[in-house]
Amino acid sequence: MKKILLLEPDNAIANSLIRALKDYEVIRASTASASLEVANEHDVDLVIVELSLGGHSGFEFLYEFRSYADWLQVPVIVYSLVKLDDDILKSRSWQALNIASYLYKPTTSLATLTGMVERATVHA
Amino acid sequence: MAQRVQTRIEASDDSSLLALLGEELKQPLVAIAQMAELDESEEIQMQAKRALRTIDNVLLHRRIQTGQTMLQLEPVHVGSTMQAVQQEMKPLLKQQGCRTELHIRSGLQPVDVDRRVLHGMLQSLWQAFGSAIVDEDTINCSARKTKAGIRVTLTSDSADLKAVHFSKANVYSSQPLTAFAGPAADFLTAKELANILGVRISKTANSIGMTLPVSKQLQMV
Repeated sequence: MKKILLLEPDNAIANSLIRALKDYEVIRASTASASLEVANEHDVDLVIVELSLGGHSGFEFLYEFRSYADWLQVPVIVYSLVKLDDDILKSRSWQALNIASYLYKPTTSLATLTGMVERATVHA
Repeated sequence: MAQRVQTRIEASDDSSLLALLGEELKQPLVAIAQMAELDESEEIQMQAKRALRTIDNVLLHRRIQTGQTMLQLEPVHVGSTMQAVQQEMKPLLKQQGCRTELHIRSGLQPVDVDRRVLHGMLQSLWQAFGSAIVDEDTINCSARKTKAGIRVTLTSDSADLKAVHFSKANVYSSQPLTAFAGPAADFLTAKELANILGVRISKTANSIGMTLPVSKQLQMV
């Protein structure tokens, strides 16, 4: 079973995602530092990240995560309440993070997310 | 003078509060929409999504008004935006007993707008219009060329736009500190987004519409 690291601070949303991603082993963390620990302990096949967190932000997690050679190729889906404009998505700093997909939570159904997860983990 | 400055500060505080509230509400609404999707409660899911669209459009307006996001004018095909909005609105309107039909004249020139603002304005207008339908009916959405630009119109025989919605929206737009809710919020949001584009929304008893300026780049060709 493929492993997904889910960085999601909200319990209700995390529970729904775990239900929707029933074909995967989902390891949930609610903070950036806890996520790094999970990534350290498990060989994860995919990471799903919320950018809006208490304490360190999802951006800080992503920069830290991508700074390790072992995790450079792990697909990352940003699934967030934060609305990112096109200029951010086209910026060099965003491109450097090698994000597989950015999905805005309010307009993305769980069906769309699971479809995206399926595609991102095909080659993992 | 002092009173005017004070009013402006209050309005600004009010706008920040509205933004904070909007951001705060997104999380529980997403949670509700997700749970409803898993439990196949389409009605609840649609209502949560409707509220999320309203919040998003209010927040878009505020981000542009406060300079957090720059207005990005570009040539946009109204027809494709209308089709996208229709697809988003279909489930909600179906739930309200309404059907939607698009009538887009072929060969329409692009208009000079901010794509996000046009999309948000049409969403808000469509949501509000759907709420003003009295009986089960069809909403006709058309786009045609006029001398002034591209005319977009929403029409329905059973729309009751004389109802309180529009007057409410007008009252609230001059009283930013007053709470507003329901269809009036969508009408007001559409009106404010239209203002950003320099477009005026006009209405009759059973239709609502606006004329969008044709792209200047193409006019020169």
